[in-house]
Amino acid sequence: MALLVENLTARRGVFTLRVERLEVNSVVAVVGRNGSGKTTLLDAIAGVIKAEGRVEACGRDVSRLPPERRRLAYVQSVPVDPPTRVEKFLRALAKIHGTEAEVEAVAERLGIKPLLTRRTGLSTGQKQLVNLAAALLTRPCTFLMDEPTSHLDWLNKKAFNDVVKALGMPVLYVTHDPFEAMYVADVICVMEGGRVLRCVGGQREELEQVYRVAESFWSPLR
Amino acid sequence: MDSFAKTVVVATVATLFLLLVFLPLVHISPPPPGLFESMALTAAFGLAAAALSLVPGLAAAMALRRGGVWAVLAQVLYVPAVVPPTSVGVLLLASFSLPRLFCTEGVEALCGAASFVNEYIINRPLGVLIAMTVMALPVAFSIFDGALREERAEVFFRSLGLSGPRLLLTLLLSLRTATVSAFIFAWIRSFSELGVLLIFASYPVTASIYIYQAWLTYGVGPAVGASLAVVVLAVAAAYLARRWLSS
Repeated sequence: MALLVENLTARRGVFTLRVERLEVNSVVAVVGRNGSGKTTLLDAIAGVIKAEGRVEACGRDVSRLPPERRRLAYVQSVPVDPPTRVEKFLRALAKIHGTEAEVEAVAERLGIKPLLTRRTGLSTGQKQLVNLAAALLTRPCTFLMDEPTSHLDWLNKKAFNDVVKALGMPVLYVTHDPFEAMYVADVICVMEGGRVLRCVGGQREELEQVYRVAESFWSPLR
Repeated sequence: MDSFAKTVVVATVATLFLLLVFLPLVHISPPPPGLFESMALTAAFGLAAAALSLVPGLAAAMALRRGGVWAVLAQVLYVPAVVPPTSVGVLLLASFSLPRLFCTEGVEALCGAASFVNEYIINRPLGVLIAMTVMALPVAFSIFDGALREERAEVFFRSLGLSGPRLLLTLLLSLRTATVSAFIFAWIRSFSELGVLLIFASYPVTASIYIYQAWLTYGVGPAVGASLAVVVLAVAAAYLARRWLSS
């Protein structure tokens, strides 16, 4: 089990999150309205806010560990600027995690090799891919992604989601967009009022059919 | 731009120009010696104070985002911004005078501390640096607080396994626009400080102390000359900083 959440409770102001059980072994999308608790769920799992209950990452109970020791790479909706030149940043991070030999391969896989020498002037989509590369180099147990494409145009959104699908790693992916969820995820969970109401998975044909209808709206732009 | 807004801008600029440049020119006479030395000294101390305020300002902004007791603690950094600078000067002076107050026989360590304070802090370069840093802290804090509200960089970097000084350095470099803004505005705040310096560290003579002394000793004319020189420098620095930040 990559990520297992049991009896998780967290509070943010008057809002209370209560999740009885959530398993993440592939790409699991969480959809829900604004204020349904999606980001609070990710924050609680990542250890950014106080929470009660059990969070297990790759068989390890991480509930009492700080975010930096949970091995849960948390990609944000607003991508973070690399602190230095992209290559220097990735190499410094890889050195900490013993993945120096993987920098080239990760850059190749994510299509960001031309960006390695850059420091500034990256587009939002490029920054998000660099953030993802950095996260990959930490060899996380699971990715947590909080609307990672919300600031991207449709083509960059598709490119990013194609990368996420090709990662072959467990991802807990929060989005407002059910069509995006259908495109990227194997399992879709619906959240409302701080609770995971239902998770659906394994019906790829049906999900893709719905996605193709949505995609046709955008085809004139391609 | 709306015509009413244009009128307001023109009226405000004209009033400021009239009050801060044009009308004082009637009194102008050459400033007393030492103007450029005091300005260079102020600039140098201001740069050091601005640099020193960055890490505590960022750390406090991170604490504020955590909420609870940490948020309350972090807000102490706003104190120098919300109380009169003269109060800050008096309080600093009172704190650093404590060793002298308790220096009696049997507690030689306190007497040593008292002489260190007299020799190296009050009305000394280190005192100027402490005073300017205290006043620069709220500026750095508020700018980093704004930056972290918009971007959850701390959450991202922590999830990558970064912590401690490495996390702070990474954040300073990643939030470079905020870091540069915090540095420049903290420097400007340090440069313009008078109240704390007047009470706690009036020597070496910084620009604001120099102008104050010029006014007391030589009258309005030389003080106006010195003030206008500072206005020219400050406007030029602000213009260059704005160009640099927006490039």
